[in-house]
Amino acid sequence: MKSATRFIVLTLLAVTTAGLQLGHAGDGGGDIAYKSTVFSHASHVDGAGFDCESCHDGMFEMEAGAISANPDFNMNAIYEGQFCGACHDGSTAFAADDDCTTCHTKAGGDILYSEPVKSVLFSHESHAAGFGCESCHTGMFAMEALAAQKNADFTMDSLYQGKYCGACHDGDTAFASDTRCASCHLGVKGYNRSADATDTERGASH
Amino acid sequence: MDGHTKSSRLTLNEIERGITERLLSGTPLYYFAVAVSALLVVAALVAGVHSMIVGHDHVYGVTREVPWGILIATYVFFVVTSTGLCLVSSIGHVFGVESYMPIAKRSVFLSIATILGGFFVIAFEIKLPWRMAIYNVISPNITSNIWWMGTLYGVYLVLMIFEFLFLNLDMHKPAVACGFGGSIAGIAAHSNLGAVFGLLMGREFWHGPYMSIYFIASAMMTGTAIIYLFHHLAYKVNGEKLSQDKPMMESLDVVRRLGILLICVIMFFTVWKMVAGVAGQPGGKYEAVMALINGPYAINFWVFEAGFGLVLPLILFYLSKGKNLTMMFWGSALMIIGIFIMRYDLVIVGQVVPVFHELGVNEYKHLLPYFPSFHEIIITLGGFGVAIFLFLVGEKVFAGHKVESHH
Amino acid sequence: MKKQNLNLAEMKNEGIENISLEERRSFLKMGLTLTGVFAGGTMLSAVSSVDKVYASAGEYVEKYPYNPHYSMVIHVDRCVDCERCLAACKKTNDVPEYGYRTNILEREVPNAVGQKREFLPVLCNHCNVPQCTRVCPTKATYKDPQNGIVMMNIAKCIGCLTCQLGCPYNARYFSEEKHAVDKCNFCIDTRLSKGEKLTACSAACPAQVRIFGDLAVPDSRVYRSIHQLEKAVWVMRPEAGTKPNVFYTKG
Repeated sequence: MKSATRFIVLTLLAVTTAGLQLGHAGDGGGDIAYKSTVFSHASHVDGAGFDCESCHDGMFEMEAGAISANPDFNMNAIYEGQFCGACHDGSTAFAADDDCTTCHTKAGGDILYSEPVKSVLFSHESHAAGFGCESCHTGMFAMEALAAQKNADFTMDSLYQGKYCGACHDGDTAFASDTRCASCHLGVKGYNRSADATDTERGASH
Repeated sequence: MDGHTKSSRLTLNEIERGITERLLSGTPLYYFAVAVSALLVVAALVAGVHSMIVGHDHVYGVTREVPWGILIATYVFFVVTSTGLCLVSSIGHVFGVESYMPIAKRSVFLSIATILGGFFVIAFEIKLPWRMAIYNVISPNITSNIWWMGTLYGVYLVLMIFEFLFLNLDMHKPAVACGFGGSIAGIAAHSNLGAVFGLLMGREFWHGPYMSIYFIASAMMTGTAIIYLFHHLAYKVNGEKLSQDKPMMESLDVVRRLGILLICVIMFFTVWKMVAGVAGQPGGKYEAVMALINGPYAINFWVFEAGFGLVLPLILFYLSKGKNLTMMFWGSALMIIGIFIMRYDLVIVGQVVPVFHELGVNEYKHLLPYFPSFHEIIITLGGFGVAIFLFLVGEKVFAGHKVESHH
Repeated sequence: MKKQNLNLAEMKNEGIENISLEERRSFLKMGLTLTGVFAGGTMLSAVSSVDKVYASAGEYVEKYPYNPHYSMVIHVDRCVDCERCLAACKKTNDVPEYGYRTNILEREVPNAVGQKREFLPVLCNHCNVPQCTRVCPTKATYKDPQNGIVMMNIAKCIGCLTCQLGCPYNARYFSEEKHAVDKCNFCIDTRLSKGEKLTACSAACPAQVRIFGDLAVPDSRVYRSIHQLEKAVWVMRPEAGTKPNVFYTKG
């Protein structure tokens, strides 16, 4: 009896350990998508040779995507050395403000502003071709989606004075911002239709 | 007063005894039919009162864009039938055509029964009917076809009731006067009913003089079918053989031939109505007519309106040669079903094309939906219940509406 | 609004060779770029058609001498469906959830060159030849003889809903709370009679879409908007013969 019990316990232990290894074997975690950013386990584990504890020692949870619940998970924190910035500081790995499209593969997706009016669409897809990230993300627009609508001056008057979209939409570089209104303004109807859209960053409903 | 009436005058006691005897002399099937029709009326009253309490919007299938539903269609059906019955019966004693005499009394009675069925249904369709009773009188709008229709049908009902009264009292001249007045009121009221739809500028499917004209012919066509069907049933109720009543058979044969003529007229009207809606693709009208030809209402149109309502009755009426009562019965029954669908399609299809359809906006790209609700169907059945109940009881009370020759 | 200079010569051309045959055919099918026709109305800046349709031209001015003659001009190219007008109307006039006095419609034309979407505000047109007032059996709806607003006398409404069918603009709905049909009345009771100059929707619009004013004043924005030949002005469903007092324009 004793040997049988021991055999069962050992088998169970072996199976569990093997199971744990199997669960995190091979690609060691797969691709994790954070909105328009992709973290590839393959390029860090197989490619760069890091093991699990390099990152999963408190900095990142094992649970995929858990970090996005953290309100501090943004580019500023990364530039200060938190999260990905712990390595992506320019010395251990490429700097976080360099080569944006390596991680930001989807180039931003659709942003649907809901303030001051519902709703205005900015489509990265129709702008990204030919423009690098720094064309707009140099202070005019933060990387963080929907940051602009927190400003009280995110109004058409600002655009007519060359701020925000008006920097290009002045009639010369691109169509004037006092024409073709409904190209960007999707309205309440557009907002309601986007409820199920997966790659759209929607402003809050008020 | 002529000598006829003295011999047929009865005392009130005798009248009462006669009525009671006849009412108690029905077959079980008769009482069953009376009970069913009465139950339908009660059910409709319950549904109608309930809808008034909770609000029509919660229990009827009508919407902002389709505000008129099956209740209006049923009202139109009954009112058109009533007018048709009045007009066909007036060929007899108003215009003196002898062969139409035997059917006259029952037809007048049925015209009253059917319009009461119509008023029953419309009382539950109009949201505030008590206001109508007041403001139609003290604040009339003489440019309103609804007002004219309502007022004239009120006049018509009174005249038909008096005509029926005079017919039963064998007072021929006043009966003819009321019959004539009733016919005039009926035609005027009926034309206005057509104009309610036909003069609406925004609704191309209805707009034009056609509605008022078509309705009169359609009314008379309906009248011929109802006359045949209910005479056939009446003889069963009274336990008599229709085929042995020679004058009645001749009269019904004449009505049959009038029916055949009117079916041809309505077929002609319908063909040109559809062609006019397709040729040149007139905006608003085209989409509605196509909905009937090969859209969501295609079965309604081809099977019921054309098949049941026109083609099959035409064939059956013709082949029966006035002798085959079964063919006549089925021809009439199918025609009545087909005509009900004709009224339904008329009312609904005229509304399913949204008024802003031509703008091409997302909200109005498609035909609007409508389906009758449970409450609306019950009230519709109640309308039929009123007419059938009155018919059945009337057969007994008025001793089979027998007509004596006046010449 | 700041006027921008459109330098067409320097604008980037996506290359006409990149437009498919299909697209070109669709563009031609869309017909004239005259905005009036494109929007589904009739081009009415041409003087000859004006008096057939406008409530403010020809014999209609003498026949209907309203003072003030309330009217609204809607600039559809400015509407962005923010729906502040709808919210303001509902709040000001106690419009129930299930109904609306004014609405915004959306037109999407995927083949269009340039902008592919537009928004169309609609409301009661306060017609000079109204279908609704003609068909009402009890005169529960009538056109105010002073200012031309199509009004409701809710005590007389019997709920027959013929006016809903008469209206070519879907402007009416039955209000359970009022036990009568309800519709836009240019905020006469809630605003205009209380000293306000604009309707709730007109005041709430952040983009100057709804210009509300008095046609009896030749100097007013609405008068000047309509009585000019340079920009297309149209009405909804002129074939209904209603001579509306709500006009549509662009620019």
